[in-house]
Amino acid sequence: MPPPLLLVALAVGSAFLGTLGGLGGAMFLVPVLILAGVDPLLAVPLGAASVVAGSVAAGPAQLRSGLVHHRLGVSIEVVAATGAIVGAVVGDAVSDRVLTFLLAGIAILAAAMSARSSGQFYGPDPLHTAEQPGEWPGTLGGSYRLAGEVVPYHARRVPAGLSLMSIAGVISGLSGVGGGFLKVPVMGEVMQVPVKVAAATSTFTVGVTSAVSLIVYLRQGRVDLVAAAAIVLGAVVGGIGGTTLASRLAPTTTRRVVALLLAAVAVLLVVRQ
Amino acid sequence: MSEPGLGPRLVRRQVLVRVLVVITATLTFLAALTVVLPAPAEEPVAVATVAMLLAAPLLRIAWLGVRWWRLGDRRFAFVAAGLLGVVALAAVV
Repeated sequence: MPPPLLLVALAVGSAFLGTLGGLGGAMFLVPVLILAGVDPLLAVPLGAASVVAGSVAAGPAQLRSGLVHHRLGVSIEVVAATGAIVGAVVGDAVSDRVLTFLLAGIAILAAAMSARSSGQFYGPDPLHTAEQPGEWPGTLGGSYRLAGEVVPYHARRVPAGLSLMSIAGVISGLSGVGGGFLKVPVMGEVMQVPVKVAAATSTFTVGVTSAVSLIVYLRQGRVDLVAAAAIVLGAVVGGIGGTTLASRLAPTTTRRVVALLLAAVAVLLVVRQ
Repeated sequence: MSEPGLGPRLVRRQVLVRVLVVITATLTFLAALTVVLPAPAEEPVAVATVAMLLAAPLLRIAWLGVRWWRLGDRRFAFVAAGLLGVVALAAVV
């Protein structure tokens, strides 16, 4: 295992790039740790620790924005967290070589998903102008503010969305990445939740999925606690830096550059095998 | 004329925001302490860091479940309880 200060530096860089590209810190961290010589079975839990740290650190700002749909997030997590348990158990049983190829494939999939853009399905509704935006009790619907107007929405095709979320959970448990690159498009394009709400809700849910994976990894004895603490520090610092810079850059161009960089890391991972 | 106060929903959200800010600050402090402390003194701090890391999202779910139960939103309170059940399952797998 690299020394703690090097782990902090790797986590800062990965979280910084991941946040800039809207992918989350672990997407870069796990492949980079493997390239740095860390056993994939030990790198995956460190990725999960980075995801939980990023999710916890982003929590206050996203709660203030009122964009997180907690009822939707908790519903999604029942299936995604179950998938993560399955993924974490399976991941412990496969060889390092298979796990590395899986990680490279997931990184390329994430890069491709990140380079795409998502649509929007709702417009402002004058009937909701006076209401405080947020989630509606007892439902998977709510409203959010867009360009000064209140836009109502409601999650649709919930069974199909939940089925896909279980796959995102399995991938997260296998690879240690958050799975937000799948969750946001599934919420946006299958469940027709507005992209801003989907992105905020996903940041909350990936933290829960990865926390569940981390519990399984702990039981499997795959977590180096000192290394995990170093990664937590780097993930929080890099995530804050990435968020600050992201607001000043052109989002589409940045996302595409980061996606290309991630694809390059994935190819390097395969070539090294 | 006084400013309109925050609604009860926003006040409750502010409480959760403050709790999460404190958790993030403590988590960062513990993680930094782990990095600077020499071996073997860093071990118990690392354990505390990871324990806090795992507790943060679970506390948020528990808080939401209790809040929904009090609001009479029993269906989603049960969903939150179900999710905590899945977390418990992860601890015994």
